[in-house]
Amino acid sequence: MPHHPHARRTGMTLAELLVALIVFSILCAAIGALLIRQERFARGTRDALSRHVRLREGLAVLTRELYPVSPRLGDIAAAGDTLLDLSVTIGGAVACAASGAEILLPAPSIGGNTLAGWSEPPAAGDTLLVLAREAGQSDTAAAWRGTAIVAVGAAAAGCPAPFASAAADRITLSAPQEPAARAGVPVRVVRRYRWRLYRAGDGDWYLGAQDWSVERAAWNTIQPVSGPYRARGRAGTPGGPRLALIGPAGVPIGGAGDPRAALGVAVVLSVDRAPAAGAPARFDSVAAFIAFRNVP
Amino acid sequence: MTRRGFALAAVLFALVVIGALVGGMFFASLEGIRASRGVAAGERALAAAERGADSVMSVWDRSRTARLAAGDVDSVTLRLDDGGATVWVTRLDDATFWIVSAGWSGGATAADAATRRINLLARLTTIDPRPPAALVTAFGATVEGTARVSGIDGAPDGWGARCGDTLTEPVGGIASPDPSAMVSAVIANPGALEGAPAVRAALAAADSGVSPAMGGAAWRALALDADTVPAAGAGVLLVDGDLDLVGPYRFDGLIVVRGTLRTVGNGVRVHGAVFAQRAVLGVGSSEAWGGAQIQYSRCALEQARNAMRPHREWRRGWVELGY
Repeated sequence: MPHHPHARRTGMTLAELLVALIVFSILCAAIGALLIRQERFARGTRDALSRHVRLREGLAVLTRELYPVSPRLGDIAAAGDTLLDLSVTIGGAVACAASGAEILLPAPSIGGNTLAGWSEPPAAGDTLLVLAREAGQSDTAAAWRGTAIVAVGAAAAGCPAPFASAAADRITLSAPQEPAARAGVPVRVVRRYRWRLYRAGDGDWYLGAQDWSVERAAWNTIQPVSGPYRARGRAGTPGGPRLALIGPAGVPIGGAGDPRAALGVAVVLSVDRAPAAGAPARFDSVAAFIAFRNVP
Repeated sequence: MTRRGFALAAVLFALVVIGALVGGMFFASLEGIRASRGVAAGERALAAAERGADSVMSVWDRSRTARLAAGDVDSVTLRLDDGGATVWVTRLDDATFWIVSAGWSGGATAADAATRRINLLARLTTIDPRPPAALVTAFGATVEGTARVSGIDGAPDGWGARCGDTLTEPVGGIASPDPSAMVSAVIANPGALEGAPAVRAALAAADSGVSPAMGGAAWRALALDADTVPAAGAGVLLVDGDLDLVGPYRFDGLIVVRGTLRTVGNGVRVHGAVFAQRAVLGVGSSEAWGGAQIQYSRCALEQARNAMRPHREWRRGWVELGY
């Protein structure tokens, strides 16, 4: 085999390899640290967004439900720091015809003027309220009269003039409402809801809602609407989610107070996450006063 | 010499990973921002809807009341800096209005736009179109000279086409809680009182704070709501004290006086109804039946009701309309 004492070698020396390894290790460590930091930051941002979304959802849901409450008419059956038992107004309409126990309501229209609108469609078990005022009766004597809805269906024809519409809903009541129910009379539909801040089976706290079962005369199983929220009653965390009826001059109405005097609800929602090892606990909260729209 | 390493590949890999992380973070942030902007746009739209409805209520077009029949719709559009509201007013019956206000908030993109609709019920303070008499007093009336009070329904001069048929059954001439006091009142001319009956017993405006002429509405509320509408030609005149009407003078509608009403001279004409604590009519009058004339007019009272500004129905009057 011929020998070439001056042939050029293409490999690295040991020193070169060591230097390269050290430099690469430093680079890897730096990049790794950067990645870990980025990941933490991303996770923190994700958690913060998630917390904000939960807070926003809970507040938005409660706001929408509480705006139309009319406390003086007894819409608040019970209230506590984790509970609101309400008659929630799910919409309103103008009766376009009435006969016996049946009332015809225009179908809602999406654009322009409408003589009906619902956040949820009326259903059997809801209560239909008619603003009753007899001819010649004083203004203050007018009152909302409620009757249970037993059936809801589409009317074969629409509404007649003067409150004409191409489509209409036929509401069957448990009893006739004449003469209060007539064409042109405003109606509201209310549904019983119980809003609660409760601890679910997974140990977390949620904002949930229960509707009333007419057949069983009991509340249906609570369904979570928003959450999870910060646990109530944990040592050192007295600022968990809570509700409070607020009366005149901003004074909370306690359990013995009259909910008819309420002007709104103070809501505090707070969320947190389990602290990472060595990291401080993070939590966010929102506090809002939701003013009822149907108080003078 | 050709050297083969993987530093470039490692750097590229790291860049890709970091880019993906940063991209994901940006995406999550963007979604959060979009959601927040959507919520904010919805709240702005709701605020616009409420402002539209309040604007219509606070600056009520009084001619609208006279113009609209049951089922008729009037609409108003309000422009705001970053949105607006369209308000539809539908008359439901003689005293009730259905108001729908659709508020919208604009934005640079469709994601920033939102619409919310609310409904208000508004009601006119009720004026009783059939008071017990043309003149209702708490402490009696004096009818002097050539003054006359009639409970027979009659339209104001020149209102024939607007009013339609008059009532065939008259109301009383003068009503007072104590008709015997009326008997002792000075009535100068036989036939100065007309009605069924000419003098009758009825609870009157004895309560200084509340007007039975308007369904028991509080005086302060009436003072806010009442007005006259030149286009309608009738109105509500509220007087917190005494009122002297010096002829010639004409008023069509409802007069409520918390003190004493006096008519002086010739040519005082009131069509509608008068509620007063006391009334002294026809002072210094001399023309035959021309001194002062108070005549019941259902049409004038109905027109006067249209001069009232409606007020919000606070009991379940507000509701947000879904679809």
